[in-house]
Amino acid sequence: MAKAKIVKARLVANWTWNGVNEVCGICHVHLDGCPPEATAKFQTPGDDCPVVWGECKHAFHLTCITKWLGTQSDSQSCPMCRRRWEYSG
Amino acid sequence: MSVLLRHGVVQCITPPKFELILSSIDTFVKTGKLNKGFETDLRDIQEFYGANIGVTLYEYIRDSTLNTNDTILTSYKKFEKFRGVLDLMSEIFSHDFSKSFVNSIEANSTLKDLVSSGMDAYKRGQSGESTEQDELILSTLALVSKHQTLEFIPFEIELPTSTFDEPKLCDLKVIVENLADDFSQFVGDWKNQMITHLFESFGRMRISELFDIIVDFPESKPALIDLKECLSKVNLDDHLVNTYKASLRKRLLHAGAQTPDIIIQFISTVRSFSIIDQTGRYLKAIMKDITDYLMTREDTIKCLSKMMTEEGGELWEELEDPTVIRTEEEEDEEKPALDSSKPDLIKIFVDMHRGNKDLFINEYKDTLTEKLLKGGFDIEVETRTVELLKIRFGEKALYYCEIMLKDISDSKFINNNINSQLSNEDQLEVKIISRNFWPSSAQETEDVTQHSKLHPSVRDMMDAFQQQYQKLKAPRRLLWQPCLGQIDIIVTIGHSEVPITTNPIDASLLLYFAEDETFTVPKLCELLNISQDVCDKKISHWVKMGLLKMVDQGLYSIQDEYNPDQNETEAVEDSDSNKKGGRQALMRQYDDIVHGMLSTMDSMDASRIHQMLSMVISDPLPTYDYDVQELRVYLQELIEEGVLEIESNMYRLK
Repeated sequence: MAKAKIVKARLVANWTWNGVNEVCGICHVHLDGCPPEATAKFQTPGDDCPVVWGECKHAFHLTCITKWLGTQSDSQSCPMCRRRWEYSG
Repeated sequence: MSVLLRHGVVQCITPPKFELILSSIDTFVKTGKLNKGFETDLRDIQEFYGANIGVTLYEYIRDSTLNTNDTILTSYKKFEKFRGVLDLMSEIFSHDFSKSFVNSIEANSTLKDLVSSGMDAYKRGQSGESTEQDELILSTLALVSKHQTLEFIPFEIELPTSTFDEPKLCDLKVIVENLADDFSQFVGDWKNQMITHLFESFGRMRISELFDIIVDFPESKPALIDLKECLSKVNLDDHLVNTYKASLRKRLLHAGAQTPDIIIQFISTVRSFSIIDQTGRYLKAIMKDITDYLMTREDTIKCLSKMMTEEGGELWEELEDPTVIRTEEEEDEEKPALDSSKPDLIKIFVDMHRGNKDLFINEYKDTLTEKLLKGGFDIEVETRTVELLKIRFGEKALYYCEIMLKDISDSKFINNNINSQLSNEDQLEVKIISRNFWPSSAQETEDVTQHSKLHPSVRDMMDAFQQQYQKLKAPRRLLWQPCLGQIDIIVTIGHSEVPITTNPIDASLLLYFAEDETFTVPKLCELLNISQDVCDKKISHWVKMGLLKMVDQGLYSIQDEYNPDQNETEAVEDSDSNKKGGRQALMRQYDDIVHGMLSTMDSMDASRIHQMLSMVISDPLPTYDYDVQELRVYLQELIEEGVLEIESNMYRLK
């Protein structure tokens, strides 16, 4: 009877943000990547460049949306759908 | 007396004084002493017979003393002995007898004989010390120099060639100088010219050997320093440049030379030339020939990158050397190159590619990808290399490499963390990479995609890992790359345990076979979610390896008994029939693929074929890890077999 056993498996995987496989609507860099300001500062993707979701389900780099909201004097709206921006829990 | 009669001058008159002179001379020849009254006798004779009798007497002395068998040196010694008599006679008979005597010594042996006897003496002198032999050479030199035919000086051909590891010029200079002094009565003002000529002939000799001297670099430094001295004394610049260019064309810049060899000779050339010439004018004159040629080779950048980034590579020390560092900022200021004695090779190679350092970095990224994905979590060496590259090329250029390194060190941390909770005995090791930052070689390949499914026992481990990862790194998850990575398995066939290390898909295929007896190709395609083509290839590979067998048309099972001998015999036959190393012989397994590629693409050059093979080849064939040069050898083999033909570097089916 033939049989086989696994001694060691060395696998490779990409990591990705849950549920989004697209570019950031503000900086147009993939959400798994770093926005241009972060690249200039040699920041690394992932922990250094977190992604946040709004209640409207749109996702942006944290630095990008923060900057965007900073330029909005009165209403804090999502740059994609113009709905009021609320961070999604 | 016969001498006198022969000339017929004094046939009828033989006064007693003439006999006296002859006997004086005979005595002198035998004893070295001159009779008293010799001078008076000579004057009387001159008064009586006129100047012609002087010539007769001179010929008598010459013929009775010079012997054709004498060596040059002996002849010269005799001349020294007679010098007083000859000078005296010269004065009385108004004739330069000293000069005539030397001329007859030269007439005794031809110039060629002189040179060859000088050479022989020099050869003998090589094995032991012999001042007499040195003298002989230099008397030759003296003679030759008198005739202004200095090119015959034996040094040019006589120095032992191909030993460049000790200085030679210094000794030669001493010999020439001493002997020029000793023989100053013949040589006179020629001393400087002799030394100059020594520089010229020695310099020319070393220039003719320059290619080999550079091959031997740095052991050949003494020869280069000798050459440098010659070049400072005589103008051989054009000769050097033209000669070296010619030997480059003849010996290096042709299809038979491998790219790394060309680069290594170029590196040695740059370093050698910096010894013989600080101004860089020789290098400037020859450099274009080499760089232009290198730019026609597709694997140049790959070789350069490898030499630069591999510890112990030819350019590694350049990368490590802090004195030649040019950071990005300095470069931008367009500072004139510092006139340091050490040439900046990396700069030369980057300039050769029109300053495009990204070419090097991209090439390195591929190397780094392979190392990081194949190796373990220990990335000390790679980290150091990236640090050095950063110093050299600027932090910005290495940004992606930095992220790749960080991915691996982060993975180490995550693996430790997750495995400690899973208690799976570290059976699984996952490299988690940031896509967008790794080159495409770290992404899925064409025929095995992300959607391929691995064996459930592997998938179970992956799922457990995924779960932990999502807890640890929320809101993130993993996208598995089943085409990458390796799995070690042990397959028990009959009485043997066969350890196999292969890619995840093949491992899964074998795991399926190990638990169920038989499979059809369509069934396996469904299980693994791969195309039938790929599956066929994989199965035929493992059949060849002696692990699987066909039990019925389209139905396969694992072998009953593992018989590796069968494979070894096959392998031996393979390499025998190819009369090549096993590695090269193994390229024959790409026959079908190359044939297929060329039948669809019509014609391709070596680099394109290389690219395609690197991309297309996947299991069951082992990873294609050959370089272009090896590919060329293999393609040449196919040409010789009449399968392919080549026209202006493009290969096509015949």
